[in-house]
Amino acid sequence: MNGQTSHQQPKDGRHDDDAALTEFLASLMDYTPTIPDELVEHYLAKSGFQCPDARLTRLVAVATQKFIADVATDALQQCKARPAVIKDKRDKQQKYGVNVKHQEYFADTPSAGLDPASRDE
Amino acid sequence: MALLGEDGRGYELARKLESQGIWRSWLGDALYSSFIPFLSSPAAWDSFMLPDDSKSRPQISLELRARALLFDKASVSLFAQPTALSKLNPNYLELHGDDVYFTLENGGQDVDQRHPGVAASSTTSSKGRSKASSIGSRFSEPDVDAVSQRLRLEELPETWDSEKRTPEQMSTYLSLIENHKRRRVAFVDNISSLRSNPVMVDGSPADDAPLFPETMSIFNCVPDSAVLITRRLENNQKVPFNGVLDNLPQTMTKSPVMSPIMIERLGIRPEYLSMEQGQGWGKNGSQGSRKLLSQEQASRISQKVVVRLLHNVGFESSSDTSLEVIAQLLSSHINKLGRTLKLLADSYRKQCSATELLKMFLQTAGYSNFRTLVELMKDNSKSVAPQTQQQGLSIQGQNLPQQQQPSVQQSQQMLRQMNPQMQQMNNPQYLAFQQQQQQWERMRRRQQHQQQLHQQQQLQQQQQQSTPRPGMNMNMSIDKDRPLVQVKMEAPSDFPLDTNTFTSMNPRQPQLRQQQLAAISSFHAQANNNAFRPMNSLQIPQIHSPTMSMARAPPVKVEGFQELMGGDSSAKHDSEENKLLSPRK
Repeated sequence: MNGQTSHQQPKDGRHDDDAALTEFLASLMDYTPTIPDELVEHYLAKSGFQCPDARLTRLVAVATQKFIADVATDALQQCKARPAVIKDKRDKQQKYGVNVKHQEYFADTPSAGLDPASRDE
Repeated sequence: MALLGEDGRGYELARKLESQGIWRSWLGDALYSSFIPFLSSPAAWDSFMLPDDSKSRPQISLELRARALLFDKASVSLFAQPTALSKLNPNYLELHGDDVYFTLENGGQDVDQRHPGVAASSTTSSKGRSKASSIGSRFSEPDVDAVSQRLRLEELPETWDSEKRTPEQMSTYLSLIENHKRRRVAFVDNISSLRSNPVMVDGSPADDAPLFPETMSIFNCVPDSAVLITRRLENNQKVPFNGVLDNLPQTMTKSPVMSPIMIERLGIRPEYLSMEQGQGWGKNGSQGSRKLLSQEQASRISQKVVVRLLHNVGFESSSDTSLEVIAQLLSSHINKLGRTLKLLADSYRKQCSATELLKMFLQTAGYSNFRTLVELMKDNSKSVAPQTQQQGLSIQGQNLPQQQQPSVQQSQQMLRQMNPQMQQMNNPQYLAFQQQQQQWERMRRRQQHQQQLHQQQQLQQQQQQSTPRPGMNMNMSIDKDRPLVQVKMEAPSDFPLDTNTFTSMNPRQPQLRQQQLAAISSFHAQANNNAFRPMNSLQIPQIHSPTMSMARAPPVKVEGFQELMGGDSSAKHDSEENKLLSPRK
């Protein structure tokens, strides 16, 4: 008896996973991803993959949306954190006499910005 | 061999060769001087040719060289009729430049190998390097002396196995003999002298068939014509090809609204599949009208999508460069996922099922736990669901009843108007529009379900009463030719909602029935189910009403029901009890 139950448990688990995946695929049809299906199909066709089932297209769209969202979220966090970090660093370095301010302008030649007269000299 | 005499030592043949000065050419001056005494008498010749252990190695090598030449010239008697030595053509006995006296495979080895028949008695002296080299130098004494010095006794190999030809080499050698070697007339009887084409030996035509069967296959491999046979290309029929991922497992959810039994009984199919299994919404295949995008369109749409995504994340603005970069990232990621899918489908098409392939794909993409994707969908659904209804992209394929077309068109018009304002994500009107659009969709779904139930009801009434019923004031096309199928009643426990459905078919309570229809439609709308759509084959369950429980759902008010029903939807018909009345406000 116990052996049978232990043997059935992995099968039940796999069946549950399959059911969950099937349910997830079904739920994809009720959700419209930000990325249109046509766009996803265009790029999928470029890569050589074609599938008539729209659920797969939406799965790829959702996965891509998640990927871009993660990248954008990280970028936003970096963007928000960056000024604070730089300001702290600048303040600390000024204490030690180090000027890390950005340059006001950039010159491509040593004589850039000089008067023509002084340039000739 | 008759030419070698009865004792087989070939003294006469040797004398004949000596008369033409062949021995000097063959052996060279140094060896010739030591050889010529043995030709003085038959006894001396016998002692020369007699195998003796007391002989030195140079003597044995000289004997082998003499035997080789004798055998080469006497071998003609193997393929010809027995004839006398006197009838030998003097020209045949001469040494010629195109005779093969070397191995074809190793030009460096100056081992003298004559015909294959004398391979066993291959001599150690060489007569030349290759046919391409000068003929005269082949017989030059310095070369012979040098070679003979090189191939001294100590250098003689123990076995001659390394000198054996492989079958391929032998076939090459034979073809060389057949095609390039001049055939010379061996006997005086044949009038023909030196010719390049093969000679009729012993009165019969030369055997043109290759000696070895493996050479025949080489000749037979060459096609007769360079033009390919195009018979197979005539039928350019489109063969439907279904990949392994074309038939994903259909939904078999345990939701109270949609059960597998209802799918089977009522013919309700998921919307992502057409009636033909394996096809999408008519997007692909020969029947599909898939909208194709050009590269420019795709890049523009990608950028708009990126704008939307960045806005959802929380960005207020972005530069053009960053938009382009992220748009390229988006396209590259989709390409990568497509390549992964293609690779998995091609590699494991036979071993794995579609579900397993999907799991592998999700694991490769990093979403083995697809809960994160589910959460993303929920988050986006809760917040303003930004839909990228871009210019030129229609609402994704749904058959709308005629009544809903004005509202849909209106929504589409508003979409087009809003397109230039896609960048202004903070526009409150845009947000309100999104919410309104979602509400429209819900209302549309409800109405579709109601229409179907109305149709079912009307058909049943027609059956029961057989009286012409006035049509409702709705632009519906009722298909009266739909087959009616009797369905067994299931246990009430299997259908928590079906009791309400069946009791709604009771023609004796129109008002309550209508309310129940509204309840059902709202219930379905809440479940967000798009299953109740116009179907080609409608199956209506037959009710045994007296035996059914009469549990009824309480009436539920549906928002905007009046609008959906088109204002005065209360059909003022004859005073029949089977009228459908709009709910009182």
